[in-house]
Amino acid sequence: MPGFLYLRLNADPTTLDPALIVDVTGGSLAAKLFNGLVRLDGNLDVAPDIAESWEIRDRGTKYIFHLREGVLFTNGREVTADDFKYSFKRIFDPKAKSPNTWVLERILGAKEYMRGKASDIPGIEASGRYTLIIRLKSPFSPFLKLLTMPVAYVVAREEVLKWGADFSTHPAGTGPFVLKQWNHDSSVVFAVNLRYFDRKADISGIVYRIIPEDLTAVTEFEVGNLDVIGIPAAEYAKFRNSPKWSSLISSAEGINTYYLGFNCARAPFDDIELRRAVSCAIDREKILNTFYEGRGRLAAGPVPDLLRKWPAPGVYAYDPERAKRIIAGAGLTNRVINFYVSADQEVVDIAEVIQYYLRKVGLNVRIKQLEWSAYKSALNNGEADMFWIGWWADYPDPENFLFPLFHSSNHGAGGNRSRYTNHEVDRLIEAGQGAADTSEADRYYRAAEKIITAESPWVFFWHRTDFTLRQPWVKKYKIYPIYSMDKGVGVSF
Amino acid sequence: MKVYIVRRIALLIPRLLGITLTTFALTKALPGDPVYSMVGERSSPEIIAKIRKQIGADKGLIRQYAGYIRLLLSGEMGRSYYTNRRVIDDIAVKFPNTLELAAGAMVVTVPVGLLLGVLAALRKDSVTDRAISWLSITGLSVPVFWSGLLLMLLFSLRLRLLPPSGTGGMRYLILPSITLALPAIASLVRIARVSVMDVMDMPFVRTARAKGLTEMRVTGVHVLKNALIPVITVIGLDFGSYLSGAVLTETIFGWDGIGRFAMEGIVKRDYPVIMGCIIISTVAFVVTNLLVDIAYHFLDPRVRIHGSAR
Amino acid sequence: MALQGKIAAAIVAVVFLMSLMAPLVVPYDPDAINLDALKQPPSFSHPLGTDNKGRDILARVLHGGKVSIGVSLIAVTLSMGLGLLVGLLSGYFGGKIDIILMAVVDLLLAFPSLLLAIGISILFPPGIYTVMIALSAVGWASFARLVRGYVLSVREEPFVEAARAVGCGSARILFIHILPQCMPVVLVMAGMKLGGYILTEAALSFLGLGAQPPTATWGSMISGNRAFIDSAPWMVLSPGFMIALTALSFNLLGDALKKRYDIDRTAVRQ
Repeated sequence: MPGFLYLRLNADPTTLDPALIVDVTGGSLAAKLFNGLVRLDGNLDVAPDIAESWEIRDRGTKYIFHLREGVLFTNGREVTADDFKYSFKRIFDPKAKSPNTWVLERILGAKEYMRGKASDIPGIEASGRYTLIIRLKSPFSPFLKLLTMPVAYVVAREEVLKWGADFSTHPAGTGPFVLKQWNHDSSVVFAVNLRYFDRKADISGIVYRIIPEDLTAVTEFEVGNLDVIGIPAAEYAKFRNSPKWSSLISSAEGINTYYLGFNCARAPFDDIELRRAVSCAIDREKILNTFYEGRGRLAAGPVPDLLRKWPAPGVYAYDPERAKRIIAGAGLTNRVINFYVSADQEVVDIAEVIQYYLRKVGLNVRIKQLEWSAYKSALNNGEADMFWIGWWADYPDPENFLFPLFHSSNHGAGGNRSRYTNHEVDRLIEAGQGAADTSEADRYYRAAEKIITAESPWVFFWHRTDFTLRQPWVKKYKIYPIYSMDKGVGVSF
Repeated sequence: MKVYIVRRIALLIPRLLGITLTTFALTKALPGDPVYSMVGERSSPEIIAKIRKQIGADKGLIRQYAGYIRLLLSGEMGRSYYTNRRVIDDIAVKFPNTLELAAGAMVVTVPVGLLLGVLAALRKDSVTDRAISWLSITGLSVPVFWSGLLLMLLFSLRLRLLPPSGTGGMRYLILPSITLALPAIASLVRIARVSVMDVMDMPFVRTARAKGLTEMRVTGVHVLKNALIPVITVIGLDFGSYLSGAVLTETIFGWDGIGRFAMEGIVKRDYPVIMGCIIISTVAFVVTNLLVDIAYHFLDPRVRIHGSAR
Repeated sequence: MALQGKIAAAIVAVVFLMSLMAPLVVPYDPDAINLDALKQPPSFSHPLGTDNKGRDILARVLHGGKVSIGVSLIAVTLSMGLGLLVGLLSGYFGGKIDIILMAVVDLLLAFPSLLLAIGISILFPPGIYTVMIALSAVGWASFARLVRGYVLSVREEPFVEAARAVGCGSARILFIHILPQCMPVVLVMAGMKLGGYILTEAALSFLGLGAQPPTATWGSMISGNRAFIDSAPWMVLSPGFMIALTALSFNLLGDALKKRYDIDRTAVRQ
């Protein structure tokens, strides 16, 4: 007899309205309540979701989607092309506060509509009940992958109008689950959607319990109140070495890059030599294998190993003597380097290790631990000399690790927090975005990545691998590299 | 009495105004911009400006504050920047939880504290007295986040007697209540011991003894009744402070209360949430004090209630 | 009880002295990372074990004591000073000054104190000075209220009247005649508050708002290592024990002072 799967969240999802979601927690929940035109399959390729097929015309500026018939919203109404038009337009409503407009902003006329200069978006057209035509301003190679993101999920207009600002707590979608109950900051309960158009889940539902403290969550798991947990860093060794648990650990190589970023726009780290010296001063491999207990893969550049279809660029080897020489020559003896980190224990731990390595080569680093809001403001305003942060894929494309992070138009809040500027890199990334196919795009991305790694605006640390632990009674559990891939079907008892 | 209560409530209004103003000024002065947290990792200046306008953050500070007070007067507290939910609805769920936890802590504190305190007073300067005094000071000196973790480890993980976290029935209440109660018991024991000792020396107790009443009856009726006033003050103060949320205890035990809510609000610069939490905590604190004062009135008619009584 | 006070004072002194002389007591740099000696249980070379970055816990506990105790001592002195000043002025002059000052005090006392401390800690750049400011800003109000009450009770006493009669100015009366009279009560309160401040400092560190890494404080050691309480308990037990021991000693000391000056306990509540 199927039952409910008990999972842990470390924070309440801020919202379940796809237009507003910016956090992974919200995204992973929304993925189970909603569907988009397309989704990602197990190989990280774009696969049909509500659109059963599509054609790409006019050099990649016109997308024609043929929708599946008989897909129902939870209120029983059938999904049509008009619903997609409404859902996309809603993101750009001048009075809405969706932060995710960048996902779809390349649609023809979207920006004009958002600025109130047009009453419609000409680039989105519903042609009959089951055909949706989208036109882009210019070719944009990752566009289909962007459509797998939560902000591109379809919502039911009548439900949005009915609930207004409270749509988040009454999220009517098409997904394999429906929201049954949401006790904010305590639990979220999903039940199986019996009208789901695709493969239905083998469980009765999911209960997410919101437990902020890692230790509390692990205790809950050990007494059997949770079926699956993500293993907190501090508990990894304990479970790995436990004969009872080690065979119940699953892992997934995450599509992410963790890095030590420099502020490249001002002294002292506008100096490429000095940035290289810092790269040489830190024994990343040793940190990864000892302190980090091998829970990741060493990064060779910004693009994660799983997305890089070309040979990895060379990195700076650990060479403290070289680092010492350069730093001694840079005249930094009295300069305090401000190293900003968020107030998260794992981050603080890594920062302390980095600080110690840099102390040994003569850099006086001061750690500034700020809680999240202050940290983000400081970073976006370029206050830090150095900072530690990770970047997680929204969609599996090298572009996602190049354009936001290194294009000079994205300084600060756009994602390029190291304020890196290189017009050749800008040009290569843009060329990749406009490329006709992925192998052409990859050629440009490879060239861009090569320049970037040579100029080391970051010290590239690692791509984190995620580990989960399940109870022996949980069957066919799978962990995915991108949150939106997990629809919650397949797992059973 | 009625006049007094009305006056106290009237005094609440300027104080609340002061508190909202202070809170508002303080939260606005905090570094960090809520909009940056709302937009996620990737955004543009255009979207940031648009959202800032939607939440009214582009207006002057005085107009923002005036707007908030107008909102309050219409019985609203606004919506959270992040969740878009009405703050008042969330408080309506979380405040009762906090109340439950505070009550749970008191259910542990009051009998244990009183019993130990009276026992210590009756056996003044004996080994029992010393032991109780040491025990209670120890309770006062252990950080709650430490004792909370240890309690959870012992009773949930090792002994598997109680659930480690969550909000629900009695079983969930026990561990956080004990954690909160430990320091509270300590202060109650100390106060109870002293006030019982004070009262024991008073003439009427000696009279009662002289009249040949049994020791039991003397302590049970006369002493306890008269020692109750300072004890109630302490209970009131502790209870009042729990109502603003026991942030650490709530975090450790995943208790969905007002303290964690306020803390989250502060961290995310969710101004409507911070304001709502501070207002509700302050009102709760002041009302508790008022109830304590009223309790004085009934316990001891000699205590005349003046406006200045606290 | 006098003995108890002496023992408590001795414990505090020993702990603080050991902290100040930490480099002589343990050979390890408290901040030195050793990736080859992670999470080692207590042993001969590391009497209290090492943490998840291979740092010696004993060295960190001792160095941490310096910060934890130092911050609390300074914060108590600051709150006491400000509280005394406000309380004296308010109680002595009465009238409008009294009403305004006491309105501020009441406001502060009605505020949820930990939340206020958190707010103030975020307001300034993080670090031990900010913690001191936060602790003092929250703590002075109860001193002010206590002192004011005391001044009110002695304002009409013969010795004040006498001073006034011989032509002493207000400042002289306040600081030469009344102030010394208040000191015992205030000191007792300071003793009791110290224990509380150590705990609040620890709580702020627990929330990531205290001293900046890698500086060790007892609170940050617990908060930073709390996830290991089950798998490597030595990381968390010793700083917790030190907090409890020190707070306990300060509380006992406060008790002893109270006995000594024969102060009614109920007067020393806020």
